Amino acid sequence: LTEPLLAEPWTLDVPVLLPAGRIARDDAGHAWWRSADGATTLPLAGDAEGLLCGTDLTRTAAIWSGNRLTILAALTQLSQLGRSAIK
Amino acid sequence: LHWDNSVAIELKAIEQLAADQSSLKAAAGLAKPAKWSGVGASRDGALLWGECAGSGANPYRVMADLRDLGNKCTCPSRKFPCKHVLGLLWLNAEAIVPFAPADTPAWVSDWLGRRRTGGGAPKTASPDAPAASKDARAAQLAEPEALEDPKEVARREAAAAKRSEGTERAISDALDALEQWIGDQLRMGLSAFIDDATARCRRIAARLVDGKAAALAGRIDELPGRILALPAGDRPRGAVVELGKLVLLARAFRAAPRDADTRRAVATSESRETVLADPHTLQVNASWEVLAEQVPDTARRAGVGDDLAAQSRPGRSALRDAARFFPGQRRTARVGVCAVRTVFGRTGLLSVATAAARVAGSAGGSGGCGCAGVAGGGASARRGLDRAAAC
Repeated sequence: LTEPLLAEPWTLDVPVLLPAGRIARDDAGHAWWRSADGATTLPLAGDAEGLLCGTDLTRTAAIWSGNRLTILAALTQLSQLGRSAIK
Repeated sequence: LHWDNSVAIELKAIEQLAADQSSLKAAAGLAKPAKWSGVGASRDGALLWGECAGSGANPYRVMADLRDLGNKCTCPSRKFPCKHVLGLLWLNAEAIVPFAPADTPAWVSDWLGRRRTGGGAPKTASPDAPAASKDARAAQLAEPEALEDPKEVARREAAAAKRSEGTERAISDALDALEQWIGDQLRMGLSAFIDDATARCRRIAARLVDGKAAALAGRIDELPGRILALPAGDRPRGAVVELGKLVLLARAFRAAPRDADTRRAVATSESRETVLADPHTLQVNASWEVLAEQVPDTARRAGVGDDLAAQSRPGRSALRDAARFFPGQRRTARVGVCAVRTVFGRTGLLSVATAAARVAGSAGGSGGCGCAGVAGGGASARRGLDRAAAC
C-alpha cells in the first residue's frame, strides 16, 4: 500500500482495491478495516455505520491516504454497497 | 479598511509590496493619467483595474484586489508585482485619477473567479467543445501549409516560446513564495497555523493562481478542510505532513519541470486530446463500472456539479448525457489512463484507474471530475469487481 505513496511522496492518496475483509471497532470506538486473514489492519476515516459494519466484505474499493482509509464501495455476499449505505 | 467599509491603500503599503527600488521608480513614471485608460473600481473600492499603455500595440490589462493585495497584469514582466500593478495602486493611493465605481469588466471577473476557486477546478469541456475542436482540426486540414507565411509562423512560434518561458518563470517564482510561506508558518507555530489555516491558505493560493500554479493553488485551498477533518489530536501531525508534501512537490517540480505528473500537480492538467494523443498513454478498451464519484471542493465551488446537471436536461444529446457519472453505472469506453496505481501486490496485482482518467469514444468525458472506477466486463457487480481483481 505504501509503494505508490513512496514513489510520489507528495501524493495525497491512492485508490486501492482490497481483498476480503470486514470492518471492526476497537475499544475506543474507532473503526478499522481488517483483512480476512488478519494480516492487514487499516484505520478508517470517520465512522462506519449501518450496513457496512460487521459485514463480510468480498472486495472493497477505497482511497488510502497513508493515514486513513476512505471506503468508496464494497461488495458483500448479498449486494454491492455504495457510499450512501456506508456513510 | 475604512469605517464605511471602503478599502484604500497607502503609499507605504505600495513600497512594501514592490520587489525592489527600480520597480518603485518605474511605477512612479507610470503614475500619470496620460498612461492609463479604462480606470475603474468596484463599488466598495476594493477592486481596481485599468489599462496601461506599454511598448506593444495593445495596452496591458492591470487589476488588483486591495483586500489581500492580490494582483494581475498581462505584461510579460517576471517581477511580481510588476511596475504596472504598482503604478495602478499608486494612482489610487494618491488619487491621481478618479477611480469611478463601475461594473467589473469581464477580464477582471475572470481573474477573480480563478482566484476564488483556487484555480484548481478541473476544466470541464463546454457542451460545444467537441464540435469546436473538430472544426479546428478540419480547418487545419483544409488550409494547405504552403499558404502559411513562414515569417508569421516563426513569429507565432517565437511568441509561444516567450509565453512558455514567462510561464516557467512565474511558476518558479510562485514556488519560491510557497516555500517561504511554509517556512513562515513553521516559524510562527503550527497551532496558530491550524487556527487560521483557511485565511492563510487562501492568501497563498491566490498568490499561486497569479503565478500560474493553478493546480497547486487548488490543493492548498482544500488543505484546511483536510486538516480540520482529522481528530483534533492528529491535526498538528497532519499539518506537518501536508506542508512537507508541498515542499517535496515544489522540489520535484524544480528537478523535472517537464514531468507530466508533477506538472499536473503544480500547474494544470492536460486536455483530453493531449492525453489521448500521447503515445505513452495507456489506453484501455473495456467495460467500466463507476464505483464512486468525487468532485473536489474547488470544482464544486466552480459549479462543475451544476454544469453536469445542466448537461442532462431533456433535449440534450445522448453523448452529453453520457458525460455524467453515477455509481453503479456501467459503460464500454476507451479510456486513456494518466495514472494507474498498482496496489496490494500480495494478493495479486490490482489496478484501479484514478481520477485523472480521460474518457474517449462513446462515453464522453468528465473533464477531470474525480471518478474512481474499475475495468470489468461482467453482467453483475460481483463479476465486475472480480474482473478488476484479475487486471
